[in-house]
Amino acid sequence: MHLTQEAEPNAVTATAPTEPLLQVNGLRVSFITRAGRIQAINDVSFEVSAGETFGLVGETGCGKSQTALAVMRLTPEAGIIERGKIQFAGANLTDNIAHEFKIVQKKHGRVKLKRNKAALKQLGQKINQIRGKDMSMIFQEPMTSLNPVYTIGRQVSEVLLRHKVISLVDRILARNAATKEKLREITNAAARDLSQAELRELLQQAGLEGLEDQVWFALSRKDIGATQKIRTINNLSERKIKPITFRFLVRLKESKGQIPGEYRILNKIPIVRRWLSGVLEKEALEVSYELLSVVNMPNAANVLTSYPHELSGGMRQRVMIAMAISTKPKLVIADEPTSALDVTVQAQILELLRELKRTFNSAILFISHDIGVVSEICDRVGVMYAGNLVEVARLDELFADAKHPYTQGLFASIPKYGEKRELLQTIEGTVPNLINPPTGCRFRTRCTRAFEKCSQPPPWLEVEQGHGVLCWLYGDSEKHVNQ
Amino acid sequence: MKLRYYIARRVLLLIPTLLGLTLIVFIISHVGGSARLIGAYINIHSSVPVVVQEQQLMARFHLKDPLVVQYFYWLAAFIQGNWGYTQTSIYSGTVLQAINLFFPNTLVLSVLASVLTGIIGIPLGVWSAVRKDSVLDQATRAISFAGYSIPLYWLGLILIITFSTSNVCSCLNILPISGTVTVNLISGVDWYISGISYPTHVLLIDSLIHGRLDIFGDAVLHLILPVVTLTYGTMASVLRVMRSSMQDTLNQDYVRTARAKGLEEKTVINVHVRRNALIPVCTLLGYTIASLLGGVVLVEAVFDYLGIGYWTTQAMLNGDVGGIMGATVIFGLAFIFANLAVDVTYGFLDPRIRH
Amino acid sequence: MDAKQDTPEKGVRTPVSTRLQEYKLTFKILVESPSSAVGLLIVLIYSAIAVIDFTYPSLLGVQDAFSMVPDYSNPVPSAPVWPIHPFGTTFPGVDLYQAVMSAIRVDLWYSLLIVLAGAAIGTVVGVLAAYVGGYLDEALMRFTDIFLSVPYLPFAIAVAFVLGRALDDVSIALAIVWWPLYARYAYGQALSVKENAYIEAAKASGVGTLGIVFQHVIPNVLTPIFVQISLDLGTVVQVFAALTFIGFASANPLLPELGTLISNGFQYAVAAPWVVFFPGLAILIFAIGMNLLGDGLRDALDPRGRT
Repeated sequence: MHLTQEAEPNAVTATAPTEPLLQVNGLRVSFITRAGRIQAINDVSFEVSAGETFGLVGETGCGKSQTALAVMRLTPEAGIIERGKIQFAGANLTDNIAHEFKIVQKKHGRVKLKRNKAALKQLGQKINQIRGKDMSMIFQEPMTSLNPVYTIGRQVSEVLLRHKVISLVDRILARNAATKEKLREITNAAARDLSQAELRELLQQAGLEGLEDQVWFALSRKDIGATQKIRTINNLSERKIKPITFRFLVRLKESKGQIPGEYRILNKIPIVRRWLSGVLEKEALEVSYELLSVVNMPNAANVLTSYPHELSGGMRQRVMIAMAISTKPKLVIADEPTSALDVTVQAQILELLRELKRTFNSAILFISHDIGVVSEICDRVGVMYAGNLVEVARLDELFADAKHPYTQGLFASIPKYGEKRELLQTIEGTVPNLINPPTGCRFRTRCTRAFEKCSQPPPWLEVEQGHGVLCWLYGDSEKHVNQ
Repeated sequence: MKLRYYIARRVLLLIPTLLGLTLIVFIISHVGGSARLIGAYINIHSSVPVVVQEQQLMARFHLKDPLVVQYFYWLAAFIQGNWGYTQTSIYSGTVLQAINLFFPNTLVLSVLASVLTGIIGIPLGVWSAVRKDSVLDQATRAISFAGYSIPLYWLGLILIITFSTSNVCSCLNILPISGTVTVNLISGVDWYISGISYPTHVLLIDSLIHGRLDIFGDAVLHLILPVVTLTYGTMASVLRVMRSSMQDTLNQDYVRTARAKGLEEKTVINVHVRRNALIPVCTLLGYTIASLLGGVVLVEAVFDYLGIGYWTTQAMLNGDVGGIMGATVIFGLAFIFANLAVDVTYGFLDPRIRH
Repeated sequence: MDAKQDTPEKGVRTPVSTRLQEYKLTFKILVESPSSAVGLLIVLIYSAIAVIDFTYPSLLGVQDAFSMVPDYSNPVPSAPVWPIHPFGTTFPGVDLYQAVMSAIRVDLWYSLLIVLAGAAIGTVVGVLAAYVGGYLDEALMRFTDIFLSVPYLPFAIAVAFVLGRALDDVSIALAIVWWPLYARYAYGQALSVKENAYIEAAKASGVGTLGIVFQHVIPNVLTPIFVQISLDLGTVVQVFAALTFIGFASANPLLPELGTLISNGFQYAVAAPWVVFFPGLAILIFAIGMNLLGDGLRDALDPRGRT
C-alpha cells in the first residue's frame, strides 16, 4: 500500500486536472506580540495540484514556513489567521476563523488574544481527520521534532494506529486466509518478474489483496536473495491468529476502526490486550519496519527499538519522512527538510524525496530558502518576500525568465561557474520590519526599478500562462486578484 | 543502556553517599570536642557507673588518637548497630530502638502525604496548564501559591484552633486535634504502652491485627489533620512545578509533530506532553522530599504526633545528643533512599539519562 | 545578502538597547503585572518597617525595639483591643503588635544574612567547579553532594544543636545548610555560560582563570541567582522561624522573633488564637510578597516576554 500508486486511473501529467488539491486564497496571518502586530503573511494565494511538487522559496522571515503551518492549521500560539481561505481536497479548513479568536484591547495600546475554545475544539475534530492522513508535514529541525522518551518504532506506529487501522486489519486477515498453495502460485508467478499491477491482480483473484504490500515489500528488498524472498513470502501463511483475535478484527473492521463496544472492557485487561490491540500494535511495528526500509534507513530493525537521541540528524529526518508518507497522503508539506543537515545527507534526502515522488505521486509543498535545492525537485515555484508571494511560475520558466525584480536579484546574486567577478552581486538594503512594513509594495525600498505607483499595493498579474507576478511593472490594471 | 544497568549503577553509588552521611554525622558530633560523642553513648540504665563508662568509651573509640582513626572506630561501632543512647521525656533507651519504635508512625504520615500529593498534585497541574487562565487554573494557582508560602506549623495551629471545641462554631468539632489516638479508647489495651503500639508500632495496622476497629477508626481520624497539613505544603510546590513544566513542554517541537500527525488533543496531552513534563518534576522531587521530611518534624511537633520528628524536637529540648545524631542518621537514610527511588523513576521516564 | 544600512526609514530595524534600558524594561514589566506589583509593595513595606523599627521605633509605636516589654501584672494573653493592644497581648503580658513589628526586623535581618552568605559561598564554589572542571569539579561537587544527603531541616537542627542554641548559631547552621543548593544551581548556570563566545574571547586575550571567573562568569550567572535569592528569602524566613519555634532561642528570652512568639503562644493557642495568628500571618504575608516578587522577576527576565 505504501509503495503502490493510487489505484486510480492515470497519474498526474504536466497539465493539472480540473480541481486543484490545495487552494490558498488571500491568506493573512499576523502575530500579536508585546512590540506590536507582526504582519507575517500578507494576502498570499496559490494552488497546488494533485501530484505536483510546488516549491515555496524565500529568505528567512519571509513567511514561507508560516504559510505551511497555516495550511496545516498549526500556527503558533501568538498567531492568528485573520482572513483567507484554505481549501484542501474539497474541505474548507478556514470556514470558522472569524469565530476562533477575539482581539481584546487593553490599556497602553496593548492587545490580548482570546481564543474561543468551542470553535477550536470543532476545528480540532475536523482537522484531525485530515492531518497526518491526507496531509502530512516534515519539519525543519529533525533534532527536536521527535519525542525523546518514546522509541522510533512507537512513534511511527502511532500514525498508522491512528489513521490506518483498517489496512492493518486487512494485512493480518489476509495472512490468516492465505494457504501454502495459493502462496506458491504467487511465488511461481513472481519468479517471472512481476509488475505491481500484475501482482495486485493475482492477489485479487486469490482474494488476498491485503497481502499486496507484504509481498511487494519482500520482492523489492535489496538485502536478501531470490530464494530467501520466496521463503519469506511462503512463510506469510504460517502466521495465524487466535480465533478470539480473528473475531475481534472482523468486528473492528465493521465498526470502521473504532474498538467495538463489547471489546472495550476486555481491552483493558493486560493479558487479553495482547491478543486484541496488541496484535495491531505489532502489525504497525512491522509496517514501520517496511517504511523505514523504504526511506533507506540503515539497520532499520535496530532503529525501531532505538530512541531519537541515538540517531543522527539524517536518520531522524528519514524517520520524519517515513511518518509523513505512512498514510499515503495526498499532500506532503516539507518545511526546509534539508536545511539542518549537512550537504551529503542533504543530497541523499533529496534523492529519497524524488524517488518517493516517482513511486508515490503525492503532491509536495516544498519550502526552502535555497533555490538550488528547490530546482532539484520542484515542478512549479513560488517566490515569497516579506510576507507576500511575489512571483509564481513553472521551474524552467522562472529560471529562464524571472519577472519580479526580487527574483531577478536572487538569481543575479548566485555566483555562476565561469563568471569572473570581484564582488558578489547583492540586493541592497535589508528585509523590512514586519510590524511597520512599507506601504504598497514591500520590496520597493530595495528595488532598483521602483517608481511612484509602487507606494500602492501592487496587483497580481498573469504575465503568461501559469506565470504570475505581484508588481506594477507589468501592467497598470487596478485589478487585485483576491481583494 | 538498559534500565536495569542504570538501576544497578545507581545502587552502587549508594555506598559512597552513605559513607558521606556517616562522615557528616561524625563531624557534627565532634564539634566542640569529643565530650558530646561520649555523652551520646552513655547508658544511664546500665549498672556500670558513668565514670567507668566514659573511660571505656575513650578506649573503645580511641578518642586520644587523630580524628581519622576515631572515625574508623566510630564507623565500626555504627555499622554494628551501636548508635548510642537517647534519653528524652518520651523514651529512654538505645537510639536504634527509639528509631524502631517511632519511625513507623512517621512513615505512615509521610507516605500518605506523598501519595496524596501525587494523586492530587500531578493531574491538577496538567489540567491547570492545559486550561490556562481559566477559572480552574487561577484558583489552582492561588491555592498552590498559598501552599508554599504558608509556614506549615502555623497552618497546623490554625487548623487546630479551627477544629477545637470553643472557637468558630461547634459544628467543626469533628476532628481530634492532637495525638495519635484518643486516650479513653486506648487505656486498658495491653498492646499499647506509653504511646507505642505492638507489634508493628503502627497503630493503624496493630488495631486491625487485634481486631479493634473502633481504635482503627479513631486513629484514622487523628491522622486527618496532620496529613492534610503536610500534604498541602508539599502538594503546592509539586503543583507549581508541574504546571510550569507542562507549559514549557507544550512549546516543544515534538508536540507540534504530534499534532501534525492528526492525533486527538487528548492523546497529545496525555501521551506526548505529560510524560516529558514529569521529567523536570522528577528532578525537583529530591528537594520536595527534603521539604516533606522537614515538614514532618514541624507537623509532628504541632500535633503531638509520636514519630521521629517529635522525638527529634524532644531530643533537642532535652539536650540529648544521641537523639539528635540518631535523628540525623535516620532522616539522612530516608532521604537517600527516597532519592534513589526518584532517580530510578527518572531513568524510567527519560531514556536519555540511561546513557 | 548585503546588510548595508541605509538611513533608517520606516521598515528598517533599530539597534538593541543598553544595559540601563534593560533594567528599566525589567522594572516596567515587573510593575505591569498586578501580582508582582503587589509583591514588590509588600516587600517594600516590610523593609520599611524593619528600617524604621531600627532607627525610629516610636514612629511605629514600638517602645523597645530590642526586647519585648512584659507586663507581669497581666501575664495572661488578652484579646485585641483597639487602640491599646491592636493585636492583643501574649504571654507574659507583652503587647503583640509591638513584638511583631520588631520581630519582623529581627527575622528579616537574620534571613538576609543567611541567604546572602549561602548564596555567596555557594555561587563561588559552583562556578569554580563548573568553570575549572576536572578534578576540582569532581571534588567540589562530591563535597557539595555530601551536604545534600540530609534534608535541610533536620540537618539545620543538628548543626545548630552542636553549635550552641542561640539565634546566631541557627543562622550559621542555616547558611551551612543552604549554600550547597546555590552551589548546585550556580554550577548548572555556569556550565552553560562557560560555552559562550565571550569566555573564549577573554581567554584568548590572556585573562587568567580567576579573572574570568570573577569578571565574566559570575556576573552572567548572577541574574538567575538573584531571582533564586528573592525566592529563597521567603523560604528562609519560614525555616528560620520554624527552627525558633521548635525551640532554638536567643540568650535573651525577650528578643522579639516571630517563631519564638508562636512557640510562646503555643499553649494558649486554642484559647487565645491571636497569639499565634498574628506572628504567623506576618510570616505568611512576607513569604507571599517575596514569592510574588521572585516569580515576577523571573517572568520579567524571561527573554520570550521581552520582545
